[in-house]
Order: sequence, then structure tokens, then C-alpha cells
Amino acid sequence: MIINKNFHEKSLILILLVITLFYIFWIIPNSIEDPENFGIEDGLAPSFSPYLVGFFSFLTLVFQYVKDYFFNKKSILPQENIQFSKDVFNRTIKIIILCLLYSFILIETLGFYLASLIFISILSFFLGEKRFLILIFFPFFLMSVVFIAFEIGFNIFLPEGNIIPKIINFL
Amino acid sequence: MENIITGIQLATTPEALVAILIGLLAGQILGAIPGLTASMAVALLVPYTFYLDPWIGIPMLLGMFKGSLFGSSITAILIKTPGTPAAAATVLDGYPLAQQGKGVKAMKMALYSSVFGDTFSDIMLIFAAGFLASIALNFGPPEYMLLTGFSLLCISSLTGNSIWKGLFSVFLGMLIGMIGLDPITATPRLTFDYLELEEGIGLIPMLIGTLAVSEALKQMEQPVKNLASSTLTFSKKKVDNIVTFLEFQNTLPTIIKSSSLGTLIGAMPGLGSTIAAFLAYGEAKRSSKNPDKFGKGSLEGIAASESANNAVSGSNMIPLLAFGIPGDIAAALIMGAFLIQGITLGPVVFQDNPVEIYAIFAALIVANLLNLVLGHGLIKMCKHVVTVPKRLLFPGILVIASAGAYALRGSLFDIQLVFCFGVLGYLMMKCNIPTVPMLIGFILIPIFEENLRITLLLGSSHNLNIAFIFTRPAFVLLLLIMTITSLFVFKRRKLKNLETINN
Repeated sequence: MIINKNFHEKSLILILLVITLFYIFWIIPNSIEDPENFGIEDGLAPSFSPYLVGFFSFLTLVFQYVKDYFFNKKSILPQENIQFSKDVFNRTIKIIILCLLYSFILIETLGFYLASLIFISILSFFLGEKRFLILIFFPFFLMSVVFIAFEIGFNIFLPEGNIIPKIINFL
Repeated sequence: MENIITGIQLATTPEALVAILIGLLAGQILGAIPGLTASMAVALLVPYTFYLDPWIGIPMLLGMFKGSLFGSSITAILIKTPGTPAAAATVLDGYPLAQQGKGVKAMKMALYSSVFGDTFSDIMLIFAAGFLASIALNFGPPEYMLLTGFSLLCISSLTGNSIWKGLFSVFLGMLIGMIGLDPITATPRLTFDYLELEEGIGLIPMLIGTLAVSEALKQMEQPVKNLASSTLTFSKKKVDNIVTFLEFQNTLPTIIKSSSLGTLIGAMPGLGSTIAAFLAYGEAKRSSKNPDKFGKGSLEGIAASESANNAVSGSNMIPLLAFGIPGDIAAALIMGAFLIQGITLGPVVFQDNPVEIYAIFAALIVANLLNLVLGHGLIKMCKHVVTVPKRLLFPGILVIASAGAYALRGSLFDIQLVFCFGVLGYLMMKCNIPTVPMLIGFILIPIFEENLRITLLLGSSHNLNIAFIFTRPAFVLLLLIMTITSLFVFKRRKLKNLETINN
């Protein structure tokens, strides 16, 4: 599917405008509490800069939308059109889910090394590596290098996870 | 003269030379690991210098600092993962050039410009320490505010095809940079009572995520059969593996200009090499005869960012040696190492320890020459790493990036941030929104906001009259220079747009 650049840009601006308005009217008021009696002689309130940036962002988007609406009715260059493939989308979504699973759940529960071994094997398999030995030995080799560099070389101890220490304690 | 000769002798003893070599080698390797910054590399070595002879420990430290700056550009060029934030600007042209099979050429260009920038700033340090430091000391909060504000505008308008996308990206970076505690009142901002966010978002996870993870995600969308090959192939043509004299000559004006800019920025405490690299890149693109080549593998782009970020390493010793004020964290750590050895840096050091000062100068120059030699070895070694097939390399990169992000603050949250920023960077890439302005906005917002607020506080002490800034000669001069530069930028952009429409 090919999406016209100008159509894409206008839709993108509208989406970003909604996000910016949400940021200005909901996120800032709900996440920043200015200290009481904060006067001009005290300098700027903590919420000043976030509002300022939000305002400028809003202004930029509105200006561009108006400009696109009235002046740029067509794409200037055909190569600026966007190609969108459903296959690529599905594939990337799966990879992103795997990455988020690794960073949010696997490392915390299994520890960095075990989680990484599993992650590399699964991701490499998903990317087309079918050789069993490579799927086993490459992650082991890489983790050994990381272990030597970080734990022995720099004394940086990577996360242990929740489960392994519990199993060790249990045993 | 006697002091100079004794100093040189002290820095060129076999022990000192070996120390510099070890420092350089360790620095280059550490610098190439994403997440381990030059400051971190120096920090790792500082405790050991206590047990070493001063003239083994200090040269080793200086070598390590210089080595890590170059090492970081290798991974920036080959796998789009800057080893340190300072090499983030090198990615912009280094990686596209490597994709064209000219990775070795890109790395060599980076090496030559690094060494040039380094040597340039060291010479400036030797001859103009006092003068440059006095210029930098005239810069107060209003000037810093103006300088950073102008940099933000410049970067947003120069990166990418549309100004609005660049501006939006800068604003997004600024917003992300504001997450955490307010610098003056310590009020939590945009944290939603989430404790991890109160510390603010770390630069390293953001850099690694936005640049490396997003690129890995983009590459992994390719069909399976394409992922069986390696990420890069290296051209076998001789001309693609060397930097010819003509190429170096053509980039020399950019290198000199960027080195000067880097030296000036390094002399100002608090700005640092990342800002220098991006500013020099922007300026090189603005003034280049071929600005369209930038971002597509321009040697000038690599030369600008590398010479500027390395030039900072010498000049941030200017305020350190002349006034005892460290220019950045690495300089502060080096200062610590000197203190361990009983040398207090500051205005009197030139009188109290002249031999040591000249020895440092000599060690800096020797380290540059050895960096040039060792750098070639590193290039040859790293060339083989990227021949691993993509389907194994990218999962590996993701894991090493996670370990690197965790290393700096020991926080699991940073690993999660790496992937969140990776997804954000990927989406931005898909929408043709440049990610570099976001990084610059993020890096500059603390400096900009702090100086804006101090300037306004100063205004309140002048009967709420902000116009006092126009009574400052440094401010007026900077404003004048920036206005003229902006006019040139917009005129050039307008001409370029006209050309595009005509074509």
C-alpha cells in the first residue's frame, strides 16, 4: 500500500496535535504541582518550561497544518510517498513484543544471563537461523564475553532475577 | 626552557610510553562498548592510579580518555551504536558510508579527524590556555541560554527534510529531558509519582535505544533471506579503504573549523563533547558546498563531528589547568587523579609545578600520535566483528546494549527504557521524523532551562527588567553573530527549496 506524502503528513500532524493537547491539558496539570505562593520574584514555576515547550509544539503543528492545507495539496516528490506493508508490520510487532517481554519480564524474573540466552535463541530462530548448534552456542559464547567483560573486568553485576536466587535458597 | 625539557623527558620515559599505550588500548576497547562513556572509562581507572607512580598513572589516564573517544566512533560507524554519546553525531554519516562498503574509509576518516582535533586542542591548550579561559569566563547564564537556544533552533532546522518535524523532535526531546525533579524547587515533574522517573531519564538508555535499537528493529523487518548475510560488506577497491590526500585536503577546512569550535566549547565548563559534535556537524552542513550529501555518507560530516568531539578533550583541560574548574565529568575525574598525586590544579600550578604541567602537555601530544598508530589496528580488528550474519548480530547488539545501559546506573528501568526508546525511534523513523534533534533537545534542555531561570532571577534583581541582558557585551556580540548566521541559513534553505521545485 502506498500512502501519499501530503495525506500522511496531515494525518500525522492531527495525531500529534491531539497528543500535544492531551499533554498540555491533562499530563502537565496532573503531574506537576507548583509550590504554593510561588511568586515571580522566586523565578519561574516548575510547570513553566513544560507549558512553554507544549505551547511552542502546538504552535508549530498548527502552523504546519494550515500551511499544508492551503499550499501543499500534492506531494512534491513521488519518492516521499510512504510504502506500507502488512507483512512488515506483523513481523515488527512480533519482534517488538518479544523485546518488551525480554526487558520487562524475562530479565527481572530469570536474571540477565538466562533471559538473554533465551532471548537471543528465540529471536535468532525467528529471524531465520535454523541451525540448532548455532542457536545454542552463539548465545553461550556472547554471554561468556559479557560475563567476562562486565562481571570480572569492571565489577558490574548484571541483574540476577527473582527466580534463580529463590531456587538456590530452596535447594 | 629547562622546565619544558624536563617535562618532555618525564612524559617520554619507556614506562610512561607503555602506560599511554595501555591506556589507549583499554580506552579504545571500553569506548567501543555501548554505554561505557569516556568518563566511565576514566572513572574505572582513577582508583588504580593511586597505586601507580604519578608518571605512569597520569599518562595512562590521559591515554584512556583519548582512546575511548575514538573507540566509540568505531561502533557508531559499523553498527550505528555510538559507544559514547559524543559519537552520536558520527552515526549520521559514518553508518551510511559503511553501508556503501566504505566502512574502513569512514573509520580512517574518523581516526584522522579525531587525532587532528585532539592535537589542535592540545596545541591551543599549550599556547592559549589563559586567553581562552578568560573568554569562557565572560560567559554567564544569559550567554549560555542564548548559545543553547540557538543550537536547538539550528539543529532542528538543519536535520531532516521538514523544519516542522525537526522542531517537533526537539520539543519532544526537551519534554523528555524535563522528566524528573525540577532543578530549582526539586518538585517532581511529569513523573506521576513513579520513583524511577524522579531521577530523570538517563542519556545512555535514550541514546542506545533511539539510535541502536531502532536501527536493529528497522533491519530486522527485512525478509528472512536477507538476514542470512552480514550487515556490512567491505569494498575491495583500494580507494574505498583509504582516505586519499585529496579527500583529506578537501575536508581540512571543515576539520580546522570544527576543531576550533570544539576547542571553544570545551573551554566552557558544562557543555561537553556531545554538544560540540552536533554543533560542528550543523555548522559543517550549513557551510558545506554539498549540504545534500550530509546524512548520506559525507566524509565532511564524519570529520566535523569527530574533530569537534575530540577537540573538547584537550580544551576542557583549559579551565581545569588555568582556574581549577573542570569542564566536564572526565576533567573532574582527571583532576581527582592529580589531587591523589598531590598536584592541585589552578592558577598557581604553572608556578608551583611547571615541570608536571609541561609533562602533561607532552603526554597529551604523544598520546595523540600513538592513538593514530593503535587506531589502525583497532579498525582492522573491528572489521571482522560485523561480518557476523544479521540474524545473529542484531539479537547480540540488543543484549549488549541492554548490559551497557544497565552498567551506568545499575537500574533495570534503564534496560526497559532502552527498548521503549527503541520503539519510539522506530516509529519516528517510519514517520520520517528525525531522531537527532530529539537527542539534542534532551541534552540541551537542562543547560537551557537552568540558565533561562537564572537569567530571569537576575532580571528580577534588576527591577524585573530582563533588558539588562543587552548591557552585556558578550551577549550582544553572540546575538549579532547568531543573527547573521541565521540569515544565511534561511537564505540557503530558501534557495534549496526553490531549486527542488524547479527540478
